[in-house]
Amino acid sequence: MERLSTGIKGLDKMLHGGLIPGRPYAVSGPPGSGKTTLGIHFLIEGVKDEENVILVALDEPPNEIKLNAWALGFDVAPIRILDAVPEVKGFQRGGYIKDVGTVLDLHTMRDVKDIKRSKILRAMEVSIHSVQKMLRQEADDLYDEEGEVYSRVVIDSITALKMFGMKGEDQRILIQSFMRFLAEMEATSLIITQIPEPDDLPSEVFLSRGEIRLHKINDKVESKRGIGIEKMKGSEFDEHIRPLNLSSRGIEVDTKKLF
Amino acid sequence: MKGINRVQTGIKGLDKMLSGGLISERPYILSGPPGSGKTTLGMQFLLEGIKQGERVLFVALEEPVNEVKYNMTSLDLNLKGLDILDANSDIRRYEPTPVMEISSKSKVQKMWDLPDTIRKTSRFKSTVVSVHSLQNTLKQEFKRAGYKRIVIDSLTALKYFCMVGEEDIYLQSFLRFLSESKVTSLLTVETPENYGLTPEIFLARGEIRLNKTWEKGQIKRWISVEKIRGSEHEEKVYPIEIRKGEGVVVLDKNI
Repeated sequence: MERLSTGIKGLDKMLHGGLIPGRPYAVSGPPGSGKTTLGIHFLIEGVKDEENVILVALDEPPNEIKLNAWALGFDVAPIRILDAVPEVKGFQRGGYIKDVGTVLDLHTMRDVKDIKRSKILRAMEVSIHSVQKMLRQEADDLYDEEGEVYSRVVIDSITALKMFGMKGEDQRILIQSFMRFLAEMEATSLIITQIPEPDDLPSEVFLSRGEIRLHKINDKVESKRGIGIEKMKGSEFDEHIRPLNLSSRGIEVDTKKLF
Repeated sequence: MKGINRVQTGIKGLDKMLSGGLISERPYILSGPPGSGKTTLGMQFLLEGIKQGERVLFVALEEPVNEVKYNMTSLDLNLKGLDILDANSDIRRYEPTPVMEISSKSKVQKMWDLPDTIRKTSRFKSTVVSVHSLQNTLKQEFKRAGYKRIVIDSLTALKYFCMVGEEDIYLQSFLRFLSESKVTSLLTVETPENYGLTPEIFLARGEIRLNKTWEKGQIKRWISVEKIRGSEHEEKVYPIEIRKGEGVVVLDKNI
């Protein structure tokens, strides 16, 4: 089967050609390790091939993501965005991040009146099921209007969904169902998540068909970044952690060196 | 001991570690972190059964069945003769009064004949798998086909997604059901990094553990036999490799 490029040469090499398409994968790592940037690389690669790609923004407002991506030299304009920050409402059909930014500003303006109450409301509105519903609606619309499907999805990140969603067993089932949903979309999806605690095994990690883990060590002088593959079903892969460089060119992975 | 039947696992080194194989007609746990080779080892166990002329069944609870087929084909394992039961629940519905059906008639399929694309949830109703519905299906299938070996992949998914509430009681009754059905079963368990004694291990007749650790920035894989009731076994941990065409291979000069 054909492999799907992640947009990062070194990572594709580690994956022996790229990701097996149509499956959900986990991208884990500590804050500042490059998870969102990896997601942007992945989406931009799809845009290059004129694929339909979508970013579900749950942690960072889209305007900030846009600015950060600009700083790295990415043209993120064609990426569609499902803005679930701070309310699962601001979806711009066929729009650009810039437009969403404007809408968000309006929201912010309105929210200024009664900021505390709206904050609580927002928190209640973010749920796995509302995100799933909007994604399905959007996928249906794209299919009905243009006969096309989404080939790449990035969920950035699932942490917010888990925080505001239901707890315990119900949450496990919601995540299982959401991942089944992503697989039935037949899109290749990256689910951004935190590194699991040593005594915990969250559903999104063990149900994912592969896990790419980013590492970050804060040295005395500078931080050192690395990338390793924890698992990749149905494929051989590089079983070493490789150094990752995050610069104005984005992410670069050196597959000849060790972390 | 008299009257004890040993079942070969399909992995030479592991059979040796188990003093000849697993004692037949009992449930065993196959534990390990994600990506440690549990599904692959389970497949080898089933393929060994086929070699010996037995009927064998793989129960998929964690991955869509088309993906299981793809993954095993990519390892160059011959899947002819392998039966698979798709026990994955559909996408849940979130309508105020969702139409949900408990699946009691999921069909066993030939792994070889599975389509390459994922089965899609119907727009009008969702089918969910519960531990009871799975047990009923298995009961019928055991009667119909006389399965000798079965792999449940994974027990963790069964516990997380198909047993609501009283997990420990359901676990006990499910393991008992497998014993009474006179099949030798391997149940995979997903483990976090720190891993202690859990009810399923306590209840099972034995545990084979796969481990994956990072050493100096490189993955190392290991296998150990943690306990086997009624049998002596190797206490040491052995390095393993996952190879194309073979699957899990125990690396030891003496084996």
